[in-house]
Amino acid sequence: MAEVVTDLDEREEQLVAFQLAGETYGVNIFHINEIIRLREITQIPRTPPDTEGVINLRGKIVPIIDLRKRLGLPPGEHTSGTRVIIVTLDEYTVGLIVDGVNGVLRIPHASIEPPSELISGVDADYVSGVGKSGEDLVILLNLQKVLRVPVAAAA
Amino acid sequence: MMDDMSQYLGVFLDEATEQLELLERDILLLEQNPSQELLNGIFRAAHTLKGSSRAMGFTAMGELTHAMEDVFDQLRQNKLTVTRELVDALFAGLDMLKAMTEEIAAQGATELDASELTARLRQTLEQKTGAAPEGTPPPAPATASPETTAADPEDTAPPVPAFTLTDAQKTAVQEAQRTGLTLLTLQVRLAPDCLMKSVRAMMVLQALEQVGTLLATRPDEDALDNEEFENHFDVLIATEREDDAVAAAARGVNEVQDVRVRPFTLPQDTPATTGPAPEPAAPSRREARNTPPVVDERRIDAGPEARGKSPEEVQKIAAEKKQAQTVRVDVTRLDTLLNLVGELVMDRNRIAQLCGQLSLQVAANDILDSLQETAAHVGRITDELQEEIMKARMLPISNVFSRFPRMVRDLAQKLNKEVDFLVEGGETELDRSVIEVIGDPLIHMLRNSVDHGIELPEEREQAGKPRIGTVRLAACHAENHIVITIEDDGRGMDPEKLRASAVKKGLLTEEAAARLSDREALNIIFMPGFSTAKVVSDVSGRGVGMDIVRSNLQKLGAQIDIESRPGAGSRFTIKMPLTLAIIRGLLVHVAGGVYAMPLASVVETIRIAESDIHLVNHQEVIMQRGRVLPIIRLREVFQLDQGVTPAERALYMMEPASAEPVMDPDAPAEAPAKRSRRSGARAAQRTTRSSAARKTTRAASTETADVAVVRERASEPDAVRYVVIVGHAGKHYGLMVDTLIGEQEVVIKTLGKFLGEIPGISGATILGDGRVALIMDINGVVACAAAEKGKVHAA
Repeated sequence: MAEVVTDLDEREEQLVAFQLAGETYGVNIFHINEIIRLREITQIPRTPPDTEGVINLRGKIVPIIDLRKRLGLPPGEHTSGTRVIIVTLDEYTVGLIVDGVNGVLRIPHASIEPPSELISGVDADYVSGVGKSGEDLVILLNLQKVLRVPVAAAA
Repeated sequence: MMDDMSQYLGVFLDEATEQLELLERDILLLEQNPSQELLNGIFRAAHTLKGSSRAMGFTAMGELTHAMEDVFDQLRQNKLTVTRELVDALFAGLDMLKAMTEEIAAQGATELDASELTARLRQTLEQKTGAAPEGTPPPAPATASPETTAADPEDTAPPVPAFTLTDAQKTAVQEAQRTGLTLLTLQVRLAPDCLMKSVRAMMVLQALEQVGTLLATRPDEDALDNEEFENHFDVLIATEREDDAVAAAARGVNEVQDVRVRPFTLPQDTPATTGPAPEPAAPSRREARNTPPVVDERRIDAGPEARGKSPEEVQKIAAEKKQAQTVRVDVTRLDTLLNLVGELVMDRNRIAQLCGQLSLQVAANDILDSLQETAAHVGRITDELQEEIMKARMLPISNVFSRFPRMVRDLAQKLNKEVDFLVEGGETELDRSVIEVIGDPLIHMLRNSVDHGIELPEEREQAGKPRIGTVRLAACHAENHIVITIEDDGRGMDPEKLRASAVKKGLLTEEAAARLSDREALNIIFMPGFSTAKVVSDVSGRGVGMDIVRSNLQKLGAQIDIESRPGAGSRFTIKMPLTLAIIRGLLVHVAGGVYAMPLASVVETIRIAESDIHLVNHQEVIMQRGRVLPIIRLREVFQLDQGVTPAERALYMMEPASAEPVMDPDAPAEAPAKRSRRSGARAAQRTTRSSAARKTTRAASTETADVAVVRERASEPDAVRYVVIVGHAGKHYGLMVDTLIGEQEVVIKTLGKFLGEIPGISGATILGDGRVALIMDINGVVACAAAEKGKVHAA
């Protein structure tokens, strides 16, 4: 019995789901440090347009990117629902500005499909798959690609 | 087996590195000025190294050290003389040992083959000493055994069953008694399951050396070295400490089960010594390791020299005792501590600010008073804490300098030059973060001095200079900075030749080169792709150019200045912060953001009117004290609303930092003048606490960032502009800012890997109000401005 349960767990993906330009996106909860409200961002000159700047997160300097801009989605207004998801991948800790956070979702691996042409507007490179949660489609983000470091990639 | 040993590996490596450093330093001194005292030290270091490497099972290392030890022994006995070839052979051995140590550190074992070197050393011994008849005194057994490198004759000596003291040892004992030292025997028993008995025994002996002078061991030290003993051994020690203290020193070593201390009295049958005059006992521990007659011989040899040193010996013991009061701390722990203090400094600033705000809103009352008092106290404590931790992280720069003499020597020899290398100020302390990175640039600059600066001996004589050139490396503190100078009395640099060379290499147009002042022309050597050497030698040609050296130093916030007179020599002066963690910065407003400029780069701040600015050759300049000062409008460099594509950004990054000679035609450079502030820069007046600065922050932050001002600058000729004059590569630039905020200590934080390198920005810091301020990289700012200009002209 116990084995079966473990098996099930392993076949499930735990995601933090959030809204972006009317779609639901998900990032594996493993990479999420915390979710904060938008706060004052210090802009940095000579950085790419999707880099909003840096914030002071309890004494740490954390860069913030506008996820809409990074994914090539139309720009949106910041509202009271706007949140910053602080994610960490390897040595990169970055804050992603999103329209709103839904909560934690569990999606069975079996229902996740590879990225298809279905998702319009978003570069397929940034998507690792599409999952179903009830009736909703959840676009799973490929953090590795989203957090790419432009200069390092070029160098 | 390796697993069991691995726990001692750290100790072994630490010790080996220490001994190797000592050996290198002393062999170098030996070449210049051989003395008995030096030789004794060298011999001891080699002996210790031999013992520990054998105990750890690194046989090849042990053999090589043994051969070297024998050479030192012969030197000590004046049977060999110090020659260049000999020193070379010893250095070769030393290099091999270093390589082995590194390999062991990396992979726990070494496969390097030292047999050839060992044989070479043995051969040297054979040739020089001739065939010393074996077995007849006074040959030292070790040196008289060229036929075999594997078997140390001392190894075969059976363990001595009791303290049978040699005459020399007896003399030492009597001397110790005469000077009022207590003689103790210690019976040290190791744990029955102790795996590395000899290592433990050595550690016990080392621990005991801290509290007294070892006179003898039973069995003798070589037997201990070779694990030829049961679980216990005895030590005879002369000390001025109490029994308990001595026992505690021995017990402090792991796996020591039991230590018994008894007073020692010399057996009655000992005749008063008639031999050599009494001498301090210190060297006897190492001397006493051989069979009695041989020991006697050696001691007589070493005696007269060693005897005169007795006050120094005393000092040495005192120094060792002092050492025992220090604790080794993992550097990561110190790093963490510094980070925590950094946080504390920021919170301190924040608390002070909140107190200030509160006092404006709340009528004066007792609670507010005590809150302010407490906040002030916390502030003071934080300052002290920060200072102490910074001090704890300080290391003397000799940590870096110590590897240079050898390098300079080897280099000079290779180039057939004669160089006297002087090192001064090795005791100057700076943060370990700086220590770690300063070495490579200095190596390169020293190589340059020897290779390009110092002439060949014949050339020097022809020029009426002493044959031997001098290279001087010095460090000293100046305010909150360290100043390192590298000076040579070589051929110097000729500005005319540098100009011509730069033109020939296509680095500068003839016109641009002609416009450079002599002083500026010297900076040509920092241009990418420039090398003054007619022939690229494998010496300076190796590795990086001076351009990389300079940009690496500038990343550390260092300023380099060159002075040179053709025929008389050159001097490079490097001024850099003591630490890379916290700097003093001048806070300024630019385009709505707060930036910190490293105070090290700031020369002065002035106030000008828009109408003071003239356009010369597409470059905005002002006249300042009769000199032309190029103006860089930081608003234009740091404008925010303009997106930059990654490709463009990569372009900025590649822009050479030395495009500036084109920008600034005539401004004569001068040494960074003493920082003087004009009345116009009242806002930037030095504030010890940053409270004044904070007030101005608030005032200034209300000012709106009106980018249009920049565009309409011509329309308001009377507008007041604040200009921060910075020194960069021996030249001055005026950086125009919106407002000056004040001077403050800032904790440097990295922007992180995600953002990578951003042109003109070297990091960030957190202000008292929790906001983030960016730290300017002056080098980058100047490069950006130059790049911007280039873009405009191209368009």
